[in-house]
Amino acid sequence: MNRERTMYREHPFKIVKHAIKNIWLLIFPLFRAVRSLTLDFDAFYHWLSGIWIDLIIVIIMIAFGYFRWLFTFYRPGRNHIHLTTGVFIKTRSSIAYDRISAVTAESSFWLMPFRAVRLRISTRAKNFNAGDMSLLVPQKQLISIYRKLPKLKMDSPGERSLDLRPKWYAMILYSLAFSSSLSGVIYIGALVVNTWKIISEPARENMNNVYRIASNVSENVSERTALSIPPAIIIIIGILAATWLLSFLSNILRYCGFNIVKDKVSLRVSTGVLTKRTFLIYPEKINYIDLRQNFLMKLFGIYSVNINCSGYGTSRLENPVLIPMLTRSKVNRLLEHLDIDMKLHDRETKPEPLAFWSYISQPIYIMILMLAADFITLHFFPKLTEAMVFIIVMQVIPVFWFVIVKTAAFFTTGIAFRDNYCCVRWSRFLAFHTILAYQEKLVKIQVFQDVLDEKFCGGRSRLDLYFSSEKPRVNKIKGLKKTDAERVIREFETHSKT
Amino acid sequence: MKCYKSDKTCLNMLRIAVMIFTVLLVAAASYYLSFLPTVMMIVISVFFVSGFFTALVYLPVYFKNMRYFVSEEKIVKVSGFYFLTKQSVRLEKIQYTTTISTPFSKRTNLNFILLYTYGGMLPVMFVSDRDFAEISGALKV
Repeated sequence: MNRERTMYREHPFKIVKHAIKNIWLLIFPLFRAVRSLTLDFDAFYHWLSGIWIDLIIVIIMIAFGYFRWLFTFYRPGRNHIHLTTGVFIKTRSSIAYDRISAVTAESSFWLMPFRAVRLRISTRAKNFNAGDMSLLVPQKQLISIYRKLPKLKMDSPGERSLDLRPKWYAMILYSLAFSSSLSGVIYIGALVVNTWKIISEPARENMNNVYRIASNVSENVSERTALSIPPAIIIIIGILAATWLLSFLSNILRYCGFNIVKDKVSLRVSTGVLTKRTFLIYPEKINYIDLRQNFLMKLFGIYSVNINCSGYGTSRLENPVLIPMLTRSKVNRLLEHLDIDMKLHDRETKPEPLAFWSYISQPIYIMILMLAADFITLHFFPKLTEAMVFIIVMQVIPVFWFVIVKTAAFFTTGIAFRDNYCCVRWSRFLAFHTILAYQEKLVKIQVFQDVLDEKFCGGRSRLDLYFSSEKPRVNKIKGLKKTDAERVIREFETHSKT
Repeated sequence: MKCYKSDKTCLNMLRIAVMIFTVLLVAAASYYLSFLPTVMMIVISVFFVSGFFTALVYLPVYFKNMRYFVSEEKIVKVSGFYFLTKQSVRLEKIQYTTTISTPFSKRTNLNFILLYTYGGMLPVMFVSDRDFAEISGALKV
């Protein structure tokens, strides 16, 4: 009883984290330094004589952090976990154990020497991207918190119904398939913007060097091939390749050592090399299964199994992946092992043949617009002919790829209803999604029809499906016949009543 | 279903705070905008009217309309100034709760309970210390 009433403090390293939050206070020492450097000849001595002000500010920052830490307690009780924070304004949060959807334990490499673990407890409340309760706890207290979680049997391997560790090449293939330049660009963008301000002069010199290297590469390519590639294009290609590589390496580090264990009540996912993460997921809190593919994966019938569950894979650079790579037959077997009585089905309701244009029209319109812009440029700047040929080729390739992907999307998009679940196949940009969700998780269906579709296309419509989720996402099925759309809604209503 | 009303002490505290804030804004405007008399008069009038409207009309009506009905199954909040909004949350759907108590909350009654649900958050505000304890107990916080 006494142990249940014991309040614990977070790991003392949290003092540093709280102190860093008040880093804006350092603006005063900065102003002082700038002022003394610009106005006084004996600037250094003046600055040194007033250093006690800076020291007081740093002490204030640490004191803020210390008192914040001192007045923060957590208590894993019998039915709830409680967190109390605040020196003057007291904030008390309580989460009932049976409301928890996922628990994340993150051991960053820089926290490992301090034996500290960041623990995030998530419920299905609308508080995405961050856990509903976030604690920095000593490693030894993590197990005692785990033991409080309902029916969780961490140390009973006999009851495991699934223990899966994907092969290393599957992880590399997954990292290859889901690495995007965008996340790398975010990293590099932040890095460049911040460092540019500090070292602008040397950076300018470096940029000149980069431009010189790009010019050399451009000349070499022009000598060996018929194409003349401007140095600016070489730099863009180089940046894209570098950012993609960065994203790939970050994925490898994130998903290396991926392991999934299922027992009677929970799923445990462990992943990461430098930063080790352990997710505890309660299967009944999973909203839906999302099987993702890109075009190449679709060609080979490979799926990446993702789940939508509050607290799992909700941060910007994380994917809520459950199994990185699986074939269709193995997906059905996996779902059986996970005690999920749903399986993949072929579509029963699909787009009508005349809707093909609505699938491929978007990339074709983009291509027409781009080509028009290219020809206008050529007309006014005839000297750019060689460069424009290269640009046109580079533009046409992705658009052509987009047309192929959208053609595949037309032949695979659709929906199938079963007794208590539905299987929805749709495509967004270059990705293919297959959603498996129980009927009660399908919360809204919206029929979208524009005037042209209604007048000239026999009432063709688009179905927008919304599933129960922390962050609502629309799943669009385009080009359905009006009768088919109405049938889907009737099925939805029938199952909603039952 | 028990009804809880917002506390009068909170209302008076807020009215005093709004009045003080308005006076400070008016003083600042008259000091810093004295070289533009017309603009100064307009700004002071806006601060004065909005401050006194909030303190003498908006807050009393808002507090009068604010009520909470708590039963074993659900909590209903009625609030609003001109349009009344009725929000209802079933207690079993609450995911977690946060209570906030300010310094001297026993005197000021500035207590808050935030109910996080699947889709949003329902704040229970400005209830007296006794009501705060009762509602917390009913919600098993």
